[in-house]
Amino acid sequence: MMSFYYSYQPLIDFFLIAVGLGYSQQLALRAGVFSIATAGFSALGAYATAILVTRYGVPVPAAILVSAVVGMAVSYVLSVPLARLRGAFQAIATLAFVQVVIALLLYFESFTGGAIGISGIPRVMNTGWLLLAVLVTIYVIWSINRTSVGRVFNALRQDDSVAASLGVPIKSYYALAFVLSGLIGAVFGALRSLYVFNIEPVDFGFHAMVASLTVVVLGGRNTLLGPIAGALIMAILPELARPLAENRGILNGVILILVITFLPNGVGDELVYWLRRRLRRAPKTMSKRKEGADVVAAD
Amino acid sequence: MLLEVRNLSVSYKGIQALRDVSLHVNRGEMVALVGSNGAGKSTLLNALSRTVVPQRGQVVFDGKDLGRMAAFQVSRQGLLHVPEGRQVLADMSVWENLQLGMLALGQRPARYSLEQVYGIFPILEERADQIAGTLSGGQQQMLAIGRALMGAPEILLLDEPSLGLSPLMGDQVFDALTRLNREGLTILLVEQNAYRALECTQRAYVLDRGRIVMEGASDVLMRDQRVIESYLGA
Repeated sequence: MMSFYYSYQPLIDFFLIAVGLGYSQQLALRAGVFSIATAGFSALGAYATAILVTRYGVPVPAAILVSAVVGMAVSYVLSVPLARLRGAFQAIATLAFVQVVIALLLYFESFTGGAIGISGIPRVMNTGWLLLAVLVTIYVIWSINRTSVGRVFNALRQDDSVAASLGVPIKSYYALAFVLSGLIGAVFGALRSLYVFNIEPVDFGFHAMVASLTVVVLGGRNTLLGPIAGALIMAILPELARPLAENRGILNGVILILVITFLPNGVGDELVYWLRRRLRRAPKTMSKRKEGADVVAAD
Repeated sequence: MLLEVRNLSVSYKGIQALRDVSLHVNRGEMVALVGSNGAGKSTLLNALSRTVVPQRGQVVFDGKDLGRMAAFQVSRQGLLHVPEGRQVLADMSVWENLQLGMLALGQRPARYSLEQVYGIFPILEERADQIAGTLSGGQQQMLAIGRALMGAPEILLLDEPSLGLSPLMGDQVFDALTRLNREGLTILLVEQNAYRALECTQRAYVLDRGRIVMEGASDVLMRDQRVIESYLGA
């Protein structure tokens, strides 16, 4: 077990970061906000922490806290125009947001280091801290799922006009989902910067955007297992594809197409749904449910 | 008077769907809105629940002007709309759909408990754990009505509750509605099947090309020559 851990430690750490960013991406999608802003939030979080720690000697916990606040503030501001858009237009708007963030990082060279980025960030993160962060995130989302907020997010995704006719203040809940997404994205961006020594704008570009989206598409958009399953596939796949060398991308694409075609809810979600169907067939006396006594995830 | 509508006008991109519609519903009444396809019946309900914003006119509900409210605020006042095509949240269980209905309560006390809703529609209790999208059309309609009941409606707006249902299912849904009304629930009902609508309501309005062309007691309208020719197809 320990030798497994030591030989794969970097893989495990990046897997945990990918899970965290996956939850940021998932929260927005689950509430029906077609956002791909997670890369932008993680860039803001990473740079806020890196600048505060390396330039101003701010203690690490305080820097992460500032990153979290920045992520929430920016996502809240962004949620206002976003609530007026739907579907693909939200995707385009959030794509533009990510591009703007990267352009600003390149432009304010004296502050952000421009294209070279920031180096010499103390590496204070390790597997334990990252695991703790993921567990806290899971706990927070699990708690949300136990309240009516989780159900409202699911209702919004399925049909926002029905949600409104049921008495859901749509814009507030869109904003809430998006702020949570921004918070988680920024925090995991900050944690990432405290792990990799140096960050540069290109780390948060198109590739990062697609990566966190892929985690959710592969894993699933509704259950807590989704991002874990998706990130696991994304972590293991490159290892399995090693013999393919520079053609690795092909396997990525093939897996994505297979999952979308045959498991459109994502591997993690399908697994949870399948388990639930099996449990439902269990004796009927078991199904006496109390308010919010839902397992694993929301819907 | 529980609901009063004065000179309501709605247009979509320049096409006028409702012109100067005025009507009222008294507390405890069951009122029908009949008319042919495209007469503006659904538009009227949408304008009342503010899922569509009217150009002109006033809607007063329980003494409050709904003019500046958003859709979610209107439903929290107790004006609950069961839209056409049932609109259950297909990925969620029956139980979860019913729980969501309680959001419309806002600060108001519940009027129907979960047990009472199960009492009205026993199939919902049987299917509590089933995913709503897998219910039959009639069961989904019952779920949509049951979900609205969870939100303590002062008035229930129903859009074509029998649409696409077998005659037997349609009868069951209408029986339940009649019972709810007898127990004191105010209902405004849109229905294509004019005969069925007139049969179970006390008063009715006839809508034609966005205007109210007739109104009166349902049993009188049912014998009216013009209504028979245009809507009852006899």
